[in-house]
Amino acid sequence: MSLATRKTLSLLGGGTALALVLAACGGDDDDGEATSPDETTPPQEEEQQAELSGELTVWIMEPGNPDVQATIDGFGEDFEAMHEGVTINIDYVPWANAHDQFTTGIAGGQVPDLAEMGNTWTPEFAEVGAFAPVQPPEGVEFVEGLAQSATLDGTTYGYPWYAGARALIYRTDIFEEAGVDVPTTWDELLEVGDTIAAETDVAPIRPAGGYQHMFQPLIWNAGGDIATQEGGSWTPGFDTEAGHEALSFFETLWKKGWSPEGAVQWNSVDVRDDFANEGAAMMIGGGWDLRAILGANPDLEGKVGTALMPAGSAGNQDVFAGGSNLVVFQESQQQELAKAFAEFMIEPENAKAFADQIGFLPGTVGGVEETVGGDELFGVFGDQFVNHSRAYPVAGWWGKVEGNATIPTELQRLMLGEVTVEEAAANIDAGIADAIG
Amino acid sequence: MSSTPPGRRPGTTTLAAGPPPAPAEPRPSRSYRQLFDTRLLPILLIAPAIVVIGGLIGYPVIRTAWLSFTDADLSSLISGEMSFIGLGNYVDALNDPTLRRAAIATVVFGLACVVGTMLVGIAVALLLNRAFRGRTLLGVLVLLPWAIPNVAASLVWRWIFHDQYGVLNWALSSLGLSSFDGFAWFNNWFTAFVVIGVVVIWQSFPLVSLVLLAGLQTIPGDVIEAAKIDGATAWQRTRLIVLPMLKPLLLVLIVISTIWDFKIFDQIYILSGGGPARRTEVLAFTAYREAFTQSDFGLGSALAMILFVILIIVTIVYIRLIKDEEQTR
Repeated sequence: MSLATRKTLSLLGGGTALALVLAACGGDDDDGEATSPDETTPPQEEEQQAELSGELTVWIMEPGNPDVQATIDGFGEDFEAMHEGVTINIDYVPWANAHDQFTTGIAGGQVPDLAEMGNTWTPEFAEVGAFAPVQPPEGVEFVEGLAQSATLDGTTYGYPWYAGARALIYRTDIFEEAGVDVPTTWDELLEVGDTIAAETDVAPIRPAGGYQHMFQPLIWNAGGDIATQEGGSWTPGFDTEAGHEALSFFETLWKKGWSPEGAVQWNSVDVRDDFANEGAAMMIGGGWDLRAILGANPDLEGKVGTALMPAGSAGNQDVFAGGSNLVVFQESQQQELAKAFAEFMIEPENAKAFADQIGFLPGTVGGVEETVGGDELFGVFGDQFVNHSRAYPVAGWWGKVEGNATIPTELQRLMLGEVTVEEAAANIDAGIADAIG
Repeated sequence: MSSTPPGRRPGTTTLAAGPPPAPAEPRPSRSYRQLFDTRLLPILLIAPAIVVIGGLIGYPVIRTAWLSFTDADLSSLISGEMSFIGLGNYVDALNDPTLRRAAIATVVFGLACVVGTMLVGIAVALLLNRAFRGRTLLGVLVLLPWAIPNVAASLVWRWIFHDQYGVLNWALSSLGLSSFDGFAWFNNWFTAFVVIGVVVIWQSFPLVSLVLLAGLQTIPGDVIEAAKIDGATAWQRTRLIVLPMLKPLLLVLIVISTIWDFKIFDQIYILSGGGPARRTEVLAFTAYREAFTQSDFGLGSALAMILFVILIIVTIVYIRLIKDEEQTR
């Protein structure tokens, strides 16, 4: 792809990027040489300080915001100031291109020493041996929804950096106008939606075909799983009662006619833009979405509220824990330096500063509490993330399912009336089985 | 002036008694130089070009062809291990309905774009060949789409065709066509292809117009004058005189357009992403998708090779046509 393509994609990717994002890390099984159990003290740093030298190439996902980029550049400068003889070169990679760039980098043997890696991609590249095993610092409690996502067959391949979880974002003024309460279950969501549709001129919620992180967790809420692992083999889970229920619920929402026809192709950014344009009373989104919405339409300040994801028929309200790890490449000649810089970047203070700036959360329970604890609006995202989030299947094949848009494709066909719920479920499972191989 | 060419006379005189091959002996310096001049120098001069072309085109093509017969995947990138699986990827490509559809779409949609590009290109060239006020301005405007990068142009067109906020739906529904209010252009493969086609043609016709305009201006005015005197209508003059005289140019333009339009990628990537449900994918896009999102480099390479073969066939057909044309002259 040409440079021009990359540049432009990065423009459009700014938002999409964050929406694509995913998270990271295991930390429960490491027994490293960390010296201090105190999570506020960076371990090892003093020991290593004297030895570190050399040049480090780091790839970070382009945050689409100069201020955030300055923060990241600042990490590099601070680290250089702390360690004489160390040079940190940070390159920014647009999210939309990142997967290709990692693939071609690996193919050409031109990999960075350290990189930010979306957590749903981590297993895919880890499985082929692209990353060096790492030991995240001890004595830190990582958010459970993330803890599994960088641990493949018992080995940890990433330092958790930041993550986030989606929750219900709603318009308090519209809810007041319609005289409804915040829905806590699917049934209530439909009821509240009907009332809003009847009482106001705003759409209740906009189901969208290209917004996979809105749809995919529904299967968990219905008591099922995207795929289950037994021994070494995976079994897809959509052609089950729970899978059918998730698809049916989505179909019911769609058939209410609350979304325009074009929403078949809408992605998370379209949904967010629509909410910011006051098109809908509710949406499923993360803290980064809410920030973008309030940034784009300051009139909504004070008119939005947040709540946990409504629970499905199984009483479950989990969403996807998405974010990024920092991974060290196996081919790097500077693995020790890369690990030291990664540990510096995930130090609570640094991780918090960065995550907060982009509307995400640090990957540790303590960090989440520090970042949004007690915040009326954003605290909900912390609660959702720490207590009600999980990872997509941690396996190399999951990247293929995402890359092939297996699930959104069938969802779109369901919306267009080309397949029934049962057919869509069977097709999704066939696609997943194909990816598993 | 007085210097003796080394080898001629001295050769024949001093070695008169020698055997017949003797004349060669005193001219070694000349014949080496000759050899250098006629054989080696040309090779040396074109060597840089050969290295660059071989490295940037030859090697990748051969490598892709080789990969298309293997099961190369992500782990092959690291281990370098892959197995030869013969025509397996090609069989998969032909048996998979989505991949087959992409191949058919490539040809049908590609040809439609070529036809559209040529028709618009010819029409605009004929228009610009006439003298009227604002012709220069129009000429510059016509060139603009060509100067805009594909991705930037596609993004703008995506906004134009946006179902909710697009200016096109707004304009059409303001004109009373209420069915276009919120019309989702990308929900249906046909309308999605129409939009992509519009963007492709919009971007590729300026070159055709420019080249044809140059061609038109080489047609002698007296030929047209003579036809006018004979009573030929404007349509007859265009069809029977102008277009036949431009035929060699037209054929070349058709070849170029075909190659471009069969391998479009950016416009589809931005406008429809291959949707709805992978139905606006063409081979270039599908090859990318299989190779880079599925890490199935074998299948991706096979699709690229299929596109390569299709293009070679089409190009050979055109070149034949051009040759026939030249022979009949």
